[in-house]
Amino acid sequence: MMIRNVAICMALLGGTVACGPLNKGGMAARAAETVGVMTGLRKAAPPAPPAIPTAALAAGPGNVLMVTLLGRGAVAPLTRVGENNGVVTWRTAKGVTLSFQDDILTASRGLNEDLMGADVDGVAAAIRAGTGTTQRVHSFLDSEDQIKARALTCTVTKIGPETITTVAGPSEAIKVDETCDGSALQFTNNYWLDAIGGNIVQSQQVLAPSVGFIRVNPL
Amino acid sequence: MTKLIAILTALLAGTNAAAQDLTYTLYGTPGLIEMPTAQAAPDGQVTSSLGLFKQQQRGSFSFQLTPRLSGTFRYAGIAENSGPGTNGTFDRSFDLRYRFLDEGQFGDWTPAMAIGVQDFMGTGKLSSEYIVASKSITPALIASAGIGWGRMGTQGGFANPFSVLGDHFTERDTSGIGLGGKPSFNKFFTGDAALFGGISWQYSDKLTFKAEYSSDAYATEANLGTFDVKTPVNVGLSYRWKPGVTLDAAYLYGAQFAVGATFDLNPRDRAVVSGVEAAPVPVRVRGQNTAAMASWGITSGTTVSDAVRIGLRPEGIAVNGLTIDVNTARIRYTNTRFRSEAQALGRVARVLTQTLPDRISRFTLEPMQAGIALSSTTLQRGDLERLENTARAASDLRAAADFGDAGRTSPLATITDPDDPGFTWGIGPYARLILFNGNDPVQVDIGLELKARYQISPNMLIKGGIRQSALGKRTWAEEFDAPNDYYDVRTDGAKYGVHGSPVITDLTLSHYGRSGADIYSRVTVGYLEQMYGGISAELLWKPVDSRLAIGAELNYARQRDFDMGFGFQDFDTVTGHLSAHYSFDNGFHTEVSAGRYLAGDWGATFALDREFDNGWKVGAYFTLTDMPFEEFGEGSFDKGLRVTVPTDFFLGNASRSEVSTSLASLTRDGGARLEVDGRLYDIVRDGHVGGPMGDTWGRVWR
Repeated sequence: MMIRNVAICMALLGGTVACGPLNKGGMAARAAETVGVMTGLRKAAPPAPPAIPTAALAAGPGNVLMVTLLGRGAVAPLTRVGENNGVVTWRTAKGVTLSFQDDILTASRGLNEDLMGADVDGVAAAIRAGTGTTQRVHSFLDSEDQIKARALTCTVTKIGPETITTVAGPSEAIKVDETCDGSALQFTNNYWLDAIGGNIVQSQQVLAPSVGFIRVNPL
Repeated sequence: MTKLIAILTALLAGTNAAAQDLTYTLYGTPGLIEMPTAQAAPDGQVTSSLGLFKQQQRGSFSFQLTPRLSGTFRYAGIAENSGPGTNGTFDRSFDLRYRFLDEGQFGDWTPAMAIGVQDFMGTGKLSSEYIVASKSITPALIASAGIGWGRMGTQGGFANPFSVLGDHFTERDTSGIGLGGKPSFNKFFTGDAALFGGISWQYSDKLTFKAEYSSDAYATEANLGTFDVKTPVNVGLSYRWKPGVTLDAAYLYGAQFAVGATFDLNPRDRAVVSGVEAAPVPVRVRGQNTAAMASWGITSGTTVSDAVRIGLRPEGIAVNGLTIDVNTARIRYTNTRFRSEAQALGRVARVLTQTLPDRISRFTLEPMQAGIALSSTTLQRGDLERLENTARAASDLRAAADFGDAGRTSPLATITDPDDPGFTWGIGPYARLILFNGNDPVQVDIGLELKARYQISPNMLIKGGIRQSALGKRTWAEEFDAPNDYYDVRTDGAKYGVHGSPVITDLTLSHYGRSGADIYSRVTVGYLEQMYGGISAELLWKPVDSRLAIGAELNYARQRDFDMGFGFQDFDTVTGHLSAHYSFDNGFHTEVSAGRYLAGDWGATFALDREFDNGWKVGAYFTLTDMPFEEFGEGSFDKGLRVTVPTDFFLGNASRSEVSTSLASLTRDGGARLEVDGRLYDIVRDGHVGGPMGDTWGRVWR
């Protein structure tokens, strides 16, 4: 078996770069790619937006989130994989997770620049009330593997009724803005509340500086 | 929206207007065309550049060691070294520059100022010293003026103003440089001085025009008749083609066209900031079901240890042992994927929350490498549940964790993976770049390589490699030959593996062990490297939370046959060192090793590296031994620069691999050490909280 593998490997070497477990993902196999990225001559192609799997749609309300990465225009369905103390973690088929506390984003894993964690106590309540001032702390991993925590003060303002279009079709919602300001970060998140129940039916929230905003639609 | 993201990025990254205007000279240093300015690259920047014109071809590597101090290594080809029609030569040089004043530091009117020495310890062909000031006149226009000595004191030179300090400064010593390689302190700021200056005008984001009055008259070259300076004025432009790539063109001295290219890269600026490896499983809070594991495609095992092993396999983490007593689980594991042991530890902890029964309230995690347990970290399960996804989760977890030496308690039940054969192999191409060797700046060897390794037990490994060069029988460029009384322990290197037949690069059996608290051991036997086989033994003392390590190494080495087969030659030697390593909190790392070198010379090696927490290392070293400089030959003593680049920095995916390159000034017989793979220090400290595991703790929740 081993001998045959080696023989096949030898035969293929003319066309391929390397074989054998020791060469998987090795430098030789990826040197060209590295040089490309290093010199900025070549950028990795953005991933194509995935189709919504029917299984995800069939999973029923409360079990799927549709998330759009606004900077890239990529859309993905996320399924619920766990809950810790009111924070629900969701996962894409490709292995990215997003965590929300009461619909407010608190963490991401697997993106270019992750939101490593966030303290957002009181934010959801202020959004539902449509007014108030809140304190947030967002932390990020930097290029040197250190955590940078950014403290923010946010003001919540009710904008007014707006018609939004979701998978379920057009519907009336109340738009609420949350404008956050800190020494190293500033942004405005938008939320659309269900006119009747007061639930967040859509939101646009910042994830990280180089990733930008995500739009979240619960299914 | 786009604008908002731009604001976010700018705010978080912090802008540096001065750096945007930065242009480089044909010497690869911050400056105009041939003359320096007082600008500096951003802290940590690594710059490679080429500056080419008919009379000289310069390749440079620069590093901004601190925000103020930078160094440059240069390898230059100089045409027609002894007059028209004669052969050229290759020349190495080193520069240092220090910006002692920032622009506006003492009021708006103050310029930035820098002092520098160019080619201060090579052959001196390019040697100059200078003091220069630069000031922004408008945001797009920077004017610089300075005074130079040496080469930069030859155009319109005048009596050295430093002469008032002593006669020593009046005349520059122009006698032969001898063996070179020693700092030429006695020449610094001596002889005639001259003024230089120029402007750079940033026309657009991409294009900058430059003009300068050069104080280098190319006096030596003019005397030889190899370069004709018609005017001291140079003009040129810089074009920022892509982020990190700048192209230059210039017309020099009314005589020759020049082109240049500069590639810059900053270890402090990672394109994929946090890495794109897939998310870990989340923490399972006790009382909840284990459904999450299924989302990761992980089937549960029949026993708890099976479940842990299967749960960690997709993370590239092998379980070596697991013991559960009452409420504590103790696990030993080997991380094969993550550069940061902190990240691996965080993933192990989360898989344990998913797989262990609820009664277990405490985890003791012991990372292993090369079969030795490196440290132990004890976490409370409740802390993992409480802190996940909070803003200060990493620092809070560190404060709550208990770090210690591994193996303080009894041995634990070993676990082996029935699907792991222990034997692994690979065939692939190899490419070896031999840089700046002898009289050839770049030599390449390419061919096919077979590597194999067999793990006899977690801490015993047989590994080896065979290479077949595609070049067949060949010879390498001549080294400068300087016969001496010492055996050719390294200068014979060019004779190795050049016969065209397959060569054994290495074939070794190694054993790693723990010989006591904080003490680690290694023994390696076999064909250790290209030139030597033998036995190498090592002991290392490194407490888990210590930034200091002490090591001792003793080797018996016998010279291998030139064909790199199994045979040996008659020469053998005993070599060994005592070493101290200290890692400062500010990222600087020092190392001193004293002992006996391959040629039987006694001495010490000093090294200073700047280590970035993301795995980049840039440093320099030198070795002084009792081998006299004249016996050592050109260069006087062994020294060089070294760079280590982690591959995950570029690829964005988790990886433990890294690439190290050393730019030795000259490989000779003095201060030569045995090359042994798998020395203890880097393996051991990687898993220590007073080391890279602690330095990369920010990744624990990634």
